[in-house]
Amino acid sequence: MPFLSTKASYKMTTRKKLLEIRKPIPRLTSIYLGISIWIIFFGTWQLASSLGWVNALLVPGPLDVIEALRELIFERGFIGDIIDSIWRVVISFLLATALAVPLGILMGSFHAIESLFNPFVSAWRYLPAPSFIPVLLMWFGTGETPKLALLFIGVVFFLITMVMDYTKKIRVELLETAETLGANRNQLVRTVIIPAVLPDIFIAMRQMLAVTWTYLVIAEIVASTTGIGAMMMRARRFLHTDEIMAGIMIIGALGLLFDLFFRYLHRKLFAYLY
Amino acid sequence: MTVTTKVEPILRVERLKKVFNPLSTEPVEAVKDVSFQVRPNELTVLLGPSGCGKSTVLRMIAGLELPSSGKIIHSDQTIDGPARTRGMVFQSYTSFEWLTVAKNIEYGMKLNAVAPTIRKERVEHYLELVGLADFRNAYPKQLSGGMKQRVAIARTLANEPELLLMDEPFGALDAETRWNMQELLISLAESTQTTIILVTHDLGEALFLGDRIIFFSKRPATIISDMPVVFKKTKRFARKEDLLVEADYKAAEQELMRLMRSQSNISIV
Repeated sequence: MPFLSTKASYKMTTRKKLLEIRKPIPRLTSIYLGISIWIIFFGTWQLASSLGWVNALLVPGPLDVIEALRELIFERGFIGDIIDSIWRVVISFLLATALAVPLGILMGSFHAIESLFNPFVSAWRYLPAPSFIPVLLMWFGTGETPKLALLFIGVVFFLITMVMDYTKKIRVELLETAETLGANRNQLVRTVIIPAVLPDIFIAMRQMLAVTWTYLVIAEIVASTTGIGAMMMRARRFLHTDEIMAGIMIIGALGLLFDLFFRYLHRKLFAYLY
Repeated sequence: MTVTTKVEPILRVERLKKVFNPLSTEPVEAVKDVSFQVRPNELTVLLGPSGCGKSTVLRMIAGLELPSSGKIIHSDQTIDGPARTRGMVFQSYTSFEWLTVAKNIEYGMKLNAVAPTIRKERVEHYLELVGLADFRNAYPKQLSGGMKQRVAIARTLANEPELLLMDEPFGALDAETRWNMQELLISLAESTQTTIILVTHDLGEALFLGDRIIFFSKRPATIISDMPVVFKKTKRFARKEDLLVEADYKAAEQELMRLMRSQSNISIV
């Protein structure tokens, strides 16, 4: 009688059960599962509209939505709206990043700078950005500026706080090591703090980009004649539910693309972490 | 290595005292009254029970904490902050994960504007010394704990400090890696002639590494005993097992054990 029954333990590890707590499942299974939820979703949706369970005017089937999307893109110049929206997101997000990243790093590094800005930034974080729409319209008219300003306000204060928090999380031993190697204050910021926090800043940017898309739709629905949101508001007037849903789909797809792009960039730029 | 009283000390610790949060309602006195001197090339071990304040003493020598009173004089200058002449190796891993092994080792020299050709030379030299030549282009994430500590030691030594300060540098390593690293440290101390101050609470480590052991009381720290490890007869042992057969090793370990027990805060039985 052996001390350890290898047979039994072998059986344990190869048992093919799908629902084992925290046990890995085959990669292919995981992909199939991920796809199947979408098949179920679209299947149920199509079934509901084909069998007349729902009002076809209010809930068009997925095939109708795809047809509407095709028509929008190829016959009604929807690509122009999409480009407008992307441009607004990218420009305002870059502006917010340009301010938030340096300020967040400084606030996370120097208590004096944190004490100066944090009460201000925290207060603004709690003000809902859309509440500024009326005043932004009064100040900036109806051009691009009020939309960019809304997206900027909606994102920048959260981004500052996240960058600050990540900067504070840098382990003190890293800074102390550099100090005992002779680093002065500027060298600490340049050669330790910035490279140490950069991967986390990318994560913060990825998260806040999703929020920018949310504010984009609000801005375009409330005060715009171009862009994805504006198209959706026009469609509402003519009860074109399929077009509204096509807009939602495009926003979802764009969000996903941006997210994948950021993930890809993170892996490329910070390969040493993987 | 000879311990003679003729040599001028490189470091003088004088009546050191440290109180944390001195103005609060509950100030913490970590170090009460500590004085000692360190001669060049000496490997001094600061030993004592956990939480006794020995790390605080080391951090004050590094300049990372300032004393509440007393002073530390290094090469005729009172320490008032960290400097490249006193490099520190921590217990936790401090490799910069965005830099390769070679770049980590080069880091300190770059800060201090050492000429590129000298930097290259020294990086190669220390890669060889710590046995990481094959890992020069690896990133820390790919290294084991022992290898990360070797990077940290090589990075500090390549910067050519006058004092190498080590705060329980092998505390996070497994037993086998630990004695390997201890033997590596002995060989590095011999080949680089660096003065080393090492904090530990491991008696075996203290006896193997130390030319001299300073034993601290429980908090607030005072020095209970400060003496050379006499049975070594002023020489160092390259291999740990050679130490164990020394006639007086057991007695020395017993003596330290007795000191440790007298200062321990833990009593279970």
